[in-house]
Amino acid sequence: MKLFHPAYRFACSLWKWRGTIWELARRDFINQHSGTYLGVFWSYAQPLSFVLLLTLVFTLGLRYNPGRDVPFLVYLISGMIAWQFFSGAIGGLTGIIRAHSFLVRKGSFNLAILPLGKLLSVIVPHLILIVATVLICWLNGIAPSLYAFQTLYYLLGMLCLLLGLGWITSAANLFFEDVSRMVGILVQFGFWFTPIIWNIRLVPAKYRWLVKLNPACYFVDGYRDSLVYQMPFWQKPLEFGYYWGLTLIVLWLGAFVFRRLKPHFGEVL
Amino acid sequence: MADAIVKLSRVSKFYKLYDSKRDRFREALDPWRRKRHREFYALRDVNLEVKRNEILGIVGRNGAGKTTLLKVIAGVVPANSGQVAVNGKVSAMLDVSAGLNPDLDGIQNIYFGGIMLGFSRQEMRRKLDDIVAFADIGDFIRQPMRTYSSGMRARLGFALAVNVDPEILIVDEVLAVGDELFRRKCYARMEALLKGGCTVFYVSHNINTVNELCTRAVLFDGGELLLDGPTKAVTMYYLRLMNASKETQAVVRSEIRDLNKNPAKKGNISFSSARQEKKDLSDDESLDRLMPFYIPELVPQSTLIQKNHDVAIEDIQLTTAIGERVNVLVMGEEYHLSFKVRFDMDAIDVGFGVAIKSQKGVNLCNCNSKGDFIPFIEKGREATVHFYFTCNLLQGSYFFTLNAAADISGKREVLMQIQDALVFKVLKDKKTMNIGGLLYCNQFLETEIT
Repeated sequence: MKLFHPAYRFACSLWKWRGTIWELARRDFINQHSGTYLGVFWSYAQPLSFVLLLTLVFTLGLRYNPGRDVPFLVYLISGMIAWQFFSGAIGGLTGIIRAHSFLVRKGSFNLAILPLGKLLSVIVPHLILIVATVLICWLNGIAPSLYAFQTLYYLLGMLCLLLGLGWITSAANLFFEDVSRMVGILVQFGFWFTPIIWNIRLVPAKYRWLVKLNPACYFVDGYRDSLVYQMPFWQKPLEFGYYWGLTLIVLWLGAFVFRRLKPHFGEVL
Repeated sequence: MADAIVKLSRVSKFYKLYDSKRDRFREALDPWRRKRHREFYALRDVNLEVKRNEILGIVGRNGAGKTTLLKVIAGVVPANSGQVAVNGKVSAMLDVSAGLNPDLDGIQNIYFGGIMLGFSRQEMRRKLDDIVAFADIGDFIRQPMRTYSSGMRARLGFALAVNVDPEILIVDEVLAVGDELFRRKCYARMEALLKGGCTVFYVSHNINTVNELCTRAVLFDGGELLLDGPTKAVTMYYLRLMNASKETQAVVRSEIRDLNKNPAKKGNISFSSARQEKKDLSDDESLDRLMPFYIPELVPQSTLIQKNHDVAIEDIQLTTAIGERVNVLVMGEEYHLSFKVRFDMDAIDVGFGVAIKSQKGVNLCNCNSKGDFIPFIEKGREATVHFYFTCNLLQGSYFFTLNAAADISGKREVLMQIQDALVFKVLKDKKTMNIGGLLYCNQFLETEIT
């Protein structure tokens, strides 16, 4: 019970500060897209052009299709949007407190909600991207199904993990700016170590658990299951248990690190 | 006490000085909580209780712990020990940027800042006009904050801080960057807030403002709350402490500490016995009235002695009309300067001179014995010179220059001159609120609209 009390209190404060979180998200969204003529377009152009490039390279050049029974484009984009969301969000979260240092000096402000504003602002374009992906799949012969809504479950999973990670990286980043560089490198590694452009079935069955240790594997494959293979998440109970167990640990650790470091924010900034 | 809105009991705050950020990080996460720092005490065992409807002035030299106190109350930095109880909504202006986002323009900042404090957009829309009008920075309200001057930032920050219905307003020495007019507006607003039940913490180095505005004051020194009491008493001791030389500081400090142990003395110690007598003479004015007093540590740093012949100027004293020694004066009252000149030579046609100079050395008023020379003073005699004046000087520091001259083989020569022999300050008081400059010439302003 004692363990859940802070979590409950945090949930209550979310409701109390909902207006503030919304404003943070709105402000963040405007900041991201102001100063460019094409605005919101860029939040799609970057991932889509990357997908397009990889599709060209793999279908015309390398002639390799990890998806086997589905077109490469469909296989790639369905997993890719999950990864793009995750990597983009973690990068933004890491710098979130530093970017709002003026609020730290204000005192009466609950800094722990800062990552939530960021997450909220990146969700909107992502949801649109999911819809776009459903359409792309349809054009490639995979009819939309109710399983598409299962992406929301995997999205929730990602958000929880991101919140925990965000608390850790954003707080630590105040002490070392190296953290944001390190996150950048880890994200790069993550792209190749997660089955995004390759298929986990390529790995011999007895080593597959090693790949699955990577939590990103869960939601990348999960998006694919939802958008392409129409496979419900409860058919993977082991992965489910591992992912949520890990996420709870990260959340707890994040809350712990954030609480411990927070009194120092005013002094290091 | 039930109505204490802010209560600090035995609060200490030390800053951990780390050799690197890395040490700070490692210590924060160390499961065994090993120490990796040195400690610097910014607040030491502070007890403070502030009630509703108080404007607490906080004075002290730089590095005395004033800002740390405000930060602890605002919750920006945590106290290391002791209890901090804050029972109200705090609006803090700890630095000029005051929690404003440099990338947003003024209007956006008003919305953003308000919503960060938990207001809704509609509520802020209602407040917007008031805030913009108070800040009064013209078209800059539509420009990004980073293009603002520090004065404009302070204007916007203060306008926002006072308009978010604070119960506790914390203002660090930030208004100093605003112009005179704006500062007046801020003081008026703080007084209005006070009437509405708000509590204000105000740090300033300007004792005149503190005297004018605050209902109570505390003096900090070296992280210690040295004195807590009536505003004028506290600012007086602040002046003393500030003017004390390094050697005498310890003495002054312990004197103030003793005072604190004996709270009964605090209320009336501020104004020596002169006050009592004066009060008997004229009880027309309230206790509010300023009284001159004496600060032993207030001595000029720029004294220049020019001794050409065998005379010595000594025993220089500035007193009130009734002989009370003073060096902090009140405008409009009469004072008396006296000094002795010892002659170790014979002198013919001896004259004396006294001048009052401003801080910049401008001769404001002088008087000498021209036409009334003393024909002869023989060796070994002593002359006492009296100089009477009405203090028509406005607030500031002023200096006395004294000299003695005589006829030396047919030529007038200065025997001895002391420039900046004595310094005195003039306090601002209520009736000189709206006048400035150096002199009081009964100036006042009348406006007629036709």
